[in-house]
Amino acid sequence: MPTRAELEQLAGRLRDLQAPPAAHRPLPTGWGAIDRALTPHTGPAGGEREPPTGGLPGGAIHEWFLDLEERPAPASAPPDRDNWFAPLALLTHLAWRTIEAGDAQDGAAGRLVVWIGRRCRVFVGAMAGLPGAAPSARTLIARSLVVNPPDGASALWAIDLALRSPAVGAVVADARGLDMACSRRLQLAAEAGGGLALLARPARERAALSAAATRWLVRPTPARPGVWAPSARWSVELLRRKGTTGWSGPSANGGRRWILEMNRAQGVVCVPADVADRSGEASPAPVRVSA
Amino acid sequence: MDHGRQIVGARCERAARAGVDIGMTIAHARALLPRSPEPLLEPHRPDRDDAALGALAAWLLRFSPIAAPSPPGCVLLDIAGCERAFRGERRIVRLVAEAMRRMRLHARIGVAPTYACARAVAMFAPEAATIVADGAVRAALEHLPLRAIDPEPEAERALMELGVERLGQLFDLPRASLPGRFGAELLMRMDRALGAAIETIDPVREPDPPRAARLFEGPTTQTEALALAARQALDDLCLALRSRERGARRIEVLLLRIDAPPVRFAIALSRPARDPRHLWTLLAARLERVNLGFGVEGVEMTAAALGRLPHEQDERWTEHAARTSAATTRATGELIDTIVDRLGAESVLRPEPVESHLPERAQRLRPAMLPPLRPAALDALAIAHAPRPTALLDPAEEALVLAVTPDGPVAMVRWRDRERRIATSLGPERLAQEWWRDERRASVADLSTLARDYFAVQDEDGLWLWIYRDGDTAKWFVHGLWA
Repeated sequence: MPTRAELEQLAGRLRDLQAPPAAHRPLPTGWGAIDRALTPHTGPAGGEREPPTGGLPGGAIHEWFLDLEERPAPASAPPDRDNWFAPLALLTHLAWRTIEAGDAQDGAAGRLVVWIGRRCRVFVGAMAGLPGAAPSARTLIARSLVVNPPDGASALWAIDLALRSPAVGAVVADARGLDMACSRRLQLAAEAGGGLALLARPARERAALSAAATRWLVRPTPARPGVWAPSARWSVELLRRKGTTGWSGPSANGGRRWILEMNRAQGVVCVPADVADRSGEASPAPVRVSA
Repeated sequence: MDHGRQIVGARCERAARAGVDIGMTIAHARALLPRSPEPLLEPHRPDRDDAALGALAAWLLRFSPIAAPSPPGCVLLDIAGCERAFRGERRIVRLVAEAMRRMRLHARIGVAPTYACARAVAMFAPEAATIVADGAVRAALEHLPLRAIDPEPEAERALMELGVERLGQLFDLPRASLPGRFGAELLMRMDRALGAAIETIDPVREPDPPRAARLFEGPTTQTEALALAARQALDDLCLALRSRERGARRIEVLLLRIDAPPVRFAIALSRPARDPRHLWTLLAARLERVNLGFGVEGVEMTAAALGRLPHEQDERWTEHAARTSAATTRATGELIDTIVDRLGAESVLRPEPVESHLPERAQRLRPAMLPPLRPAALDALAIAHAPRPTALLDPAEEALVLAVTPDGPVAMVRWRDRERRIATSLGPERLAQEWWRDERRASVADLSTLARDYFAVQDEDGLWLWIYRDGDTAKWFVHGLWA
């Protein structure tokens, strides 16, 4: 019969195996409430290690859907026009955070952000929302690479290659029509390379199966009245987080929603709870960790 | 150093004007020079001076195929026949002078029918740049001091005792008596300067590009054999590159075929590289597509364009080692090369800010194969005072807009078959077009109609749109949105 000490040692080793490798640190998004909600919970006996900081899980792919409530294109529209957009303000902010976090780490300085796809470009307007405006914008532009793949298969190949490269910190890509096998392959590539993949997909695909670590639905919401400059506001909802028991859909009461606002002074910030309707449950409901 | 004292080996113009001479002690020199700014002292290393002169001669090969350093401080170029290429001797002189100025080198130039005359004129003539015509050699040399033809010290001393100080007086002396009294060397130098004797120089040569080859005993059509030979040649080439501390930016491969013309292809790299693994992934793809014909007899590889690639520490444990910036640069280069190899050179781009107030022109993309931008070029990035949308539509899409008054707030926008009532309307902001680019400017009498009035509007759902009214046609367009 194994002794208690041996069992505890075994439990410690199993916990170490389950913990993510050091290269895959979570990326702090800079949005306080979201970071707190994304903190993984450690077990009751895991007190020796310091609690990991919260943020988007590193070494994984994340899917972002922007819902502008578009109706399908009428028959008179040109056949190749696509009615969807990527939530570029948020993705630019996250890309910049990846660079900043990478530079702060010793071994990951100088990494790139790769933008793949026609819809995912780095625009000057999106960069006005970065904190520290012009110098941050210059850093982001200096570290960006834009790839123009001619079709979907080469786009997937390019995303895979970029994720596996040690020089890449984040990939922002246009991933329309991704199926389960492809997303699993991209998830493996992200784990191998340690980078972060932010995939933008049209909102109508949010029912599709995918191997993404987190899935987010972004919807514009009305700004507070009396603004003198466009301060766009979005309601961001975490549809799914891998490794947790789900809430059964975006409209269920257990859904997690936060309000993010972009203004020139502070960039993209998380608006506190008292303004919005559902966001900001101070203590998240206990989550059972399942495999 | 002389008997433990430090003496001056060479000095610049300003120090020479202050009275510092070669051979005086440092303490004396310091006393002659003003206290501020501090005079700059460096140990005199003649070997490094010679190496630098050789490098300068190699750089000057762009003006002439024959260039030789002539220490101390002189480079000889043979420009016979180069005037056609550069449209005249004067132009060559001007280009060289400007190049030296850009390199911050103080240079004096002399052009003459003989090397010795050119050197003499360059060093001792009153003007900074002198051109001596064909028949005017003797006249140009007459007023120069004896040192201009670099005689031996004893001969020079003997001539000075006689009172001969200028070359004109030397030429007037009887020729036959010169070898006996002053040595044969003096007569030879005089003849070289005047053109009566030939002077040869030792030109500097550019090193050959590194090359590696594998030749077979007989023709083969097996791709595995060819791949093996090519891989070995590539390893040799990378070894040669490493010994020169260079990386290849362009590798040309030549496959010798029997009974058929040879096959040539080249791969281009975004950064200098000498890693056989990375180069092989690019080359192998090309080799497989080659038509072997009746058989291949040999493979030859040349690194046609080189770039500096300093040595770096070998990473043996890549998953544990801290990634240095050199490794990241190399990984970036490999990523760009691999994507370009499969998707084409125009498929990988870098964003570059452009000085323009129009948001659709504020940025352009340039191919990543070109070297990355200097940081100063990024200063053109202007964050506009008025807010700009995060996503731009290209081209702008037409919309139907209802406004309360012609220049007033917007009430309703119908875009993409959906009517949106507007809750907030900000504007107008007038952006004048870049009239110097617009083709319509010739036909438009009033340039103010080429302007656009922009409004930032928010609909009831919270979506912000950026719309404008064209000054010319009075139509409304949606140009962007805050996604």
